[in-house]
Amino acid sequence: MENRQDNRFPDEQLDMQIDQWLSGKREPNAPASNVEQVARAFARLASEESPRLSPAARARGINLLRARAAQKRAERHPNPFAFLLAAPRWAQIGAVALLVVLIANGVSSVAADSLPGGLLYPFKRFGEGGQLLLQNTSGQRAQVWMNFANTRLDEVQRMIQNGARVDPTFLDAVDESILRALTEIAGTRGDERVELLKQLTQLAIRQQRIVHQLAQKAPPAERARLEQTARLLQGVAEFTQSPDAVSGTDASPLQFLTPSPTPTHSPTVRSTVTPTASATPSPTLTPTTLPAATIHPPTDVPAPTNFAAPPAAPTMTRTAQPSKTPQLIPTQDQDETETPEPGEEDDKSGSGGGDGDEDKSGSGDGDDDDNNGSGGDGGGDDDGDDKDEDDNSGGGGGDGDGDDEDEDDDSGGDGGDDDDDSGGSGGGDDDDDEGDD
Amino acid sequence: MSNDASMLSQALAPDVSTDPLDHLLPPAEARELLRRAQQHEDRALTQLYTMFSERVFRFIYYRIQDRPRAEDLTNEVFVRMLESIEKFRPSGDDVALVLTSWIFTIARNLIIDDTRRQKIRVAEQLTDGDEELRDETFDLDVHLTRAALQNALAQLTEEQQTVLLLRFEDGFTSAQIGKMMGKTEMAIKALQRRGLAAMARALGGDKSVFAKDTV
Repeated sequence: MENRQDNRFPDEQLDMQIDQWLSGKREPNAPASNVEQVARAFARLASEESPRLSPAARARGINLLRARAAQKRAERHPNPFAFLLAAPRWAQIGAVALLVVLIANGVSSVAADSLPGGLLYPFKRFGEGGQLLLQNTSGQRAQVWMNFANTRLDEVQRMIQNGARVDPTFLDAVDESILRALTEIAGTRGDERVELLKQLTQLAIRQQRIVHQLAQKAPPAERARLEQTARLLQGVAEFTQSPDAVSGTDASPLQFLTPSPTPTHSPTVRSTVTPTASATPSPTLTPTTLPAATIHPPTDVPAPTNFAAPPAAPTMTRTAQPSKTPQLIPTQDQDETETPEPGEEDDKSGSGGGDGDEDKSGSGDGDDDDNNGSGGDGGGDDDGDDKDEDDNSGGGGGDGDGDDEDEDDDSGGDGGDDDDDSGGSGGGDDDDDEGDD
Repeated sequence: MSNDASMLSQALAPDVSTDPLDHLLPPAEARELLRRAQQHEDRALTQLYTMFSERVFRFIYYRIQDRPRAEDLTNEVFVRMLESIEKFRPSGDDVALVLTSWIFTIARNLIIDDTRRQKIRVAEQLTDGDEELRDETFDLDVHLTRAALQNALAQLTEEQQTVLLLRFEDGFTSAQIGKMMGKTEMAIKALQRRGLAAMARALGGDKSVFAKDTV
């Protein structure tokens, strides 16, 4: 440390002396050290005669410079971005950012007309994701999902018109959009809810009509899947017109899908979870619909199990059918084949009483994990959010919900099972979920 | 006589009494000069040449010790400056110093390239010294002393040479050199001292070299 200071001091001293020598001051005393002598001699030489550029070299240099400048001026083309070069750095960065946004916007607008499988289609879906992120409220998101539903169906229509084969996943996307809209509407209240339900009703009816027409013209292989979506749309439309949809207060979004028209089977329901829910119609309606429609291709799930399985059970009418209710009773294990579908997916909330997140409202029996007992809550699913596929609101037939592994979940009748069994009352069944409608 | 012609004649005059390089331009003037040079205006470019050519020449000449080559390289510095002056964006208020630093950086790079390309050892050329002796612009006594100093200068590192030449030949202060080279003022002063010490060692403490000063 001291050494460093010692060294710094002579550096400073020497520098000051050099300043004096360079300014022409001469000290009477001779420099002491060789270093100072060199510095002084150097300063003297610099102040005396120093080499200069020869006149010829100067002339050559100036001529060269001017000739090159003239060439540059001639070559110079007007640069449309010259103003940017002169702009401050922040303005340059802003301009580049703006350019990027404009390009991205251009790509997304070009991609707007793309169809599944197209080069730009991923950009389209990506842009939609961004659009969704910008929405702050459930009502706004519901609107956006309804728009997406329109877009998806429009894509399906155009694909069919183009003679392309309709992949089931395209229809899954239609189903998903509708159900997401429904889920978001659950988070709204009051007039907004009523208005959104009205819009969704109109949308579902219109789309159902379109899908139905498409199904009539479609080859048999695709017809079944189209009809499945048509049934889902029909079910949604009927539900959204029901008083339950308007008055729903439960936070769980898919309670919409578990309308409980008649609290007929209250005793059984109470035994399971909550008194209010009407277990009857729902079992057939909801639980089956969601999983089947959204996640699995039609082949996985028996078509009739859909939301509004029209033929087998006039499900949408929500008339409590005695035959179904027994399924809610926990005691029945895996015998009944009707409930199986409900049992598939997670969160199959039995219709009926209050739900709860992850409640284990096993009917009668408590099973371990997340099993909503039949007759349980209406809005059986916890997170009315993301994956509709998982959200299966158990119908009144209440299956409990198993957890998340759908296919493996057993909608156990009495749920006395462990993990993934939806302890739905009634016809819980095993893995295979063969509904015996 | 137009302004342009008078400036040109001044630029070409070999023995300009007042050296325009003694003081750096005020920032506003330097900025305006730079702006016009970026438009490739003849007058601005000539002014820049007039302001810097002597300094650049001395800087190069002391390093390579070959007058014709130093003159060529000096002119090459300004051609290179012209080539990239459009992209030159000085940061900060001290435009003149940044501009000076930039021009000397071009000169330094040219010297390094030239030395590498020609593989000439500066010291060897100095010992021949024939061209220097034929240079009529030098007084013999001064020249000898200068030759000795130049020989010693050639023993220094590139950084030390640059610091000493900018300091003694071009009259920049240590603080200015520090800004130009991206170093602190203290670092420049240390480099200066070490460079002078190395020169003294190279001169072998020969008092005769400094006889005129010391006596």
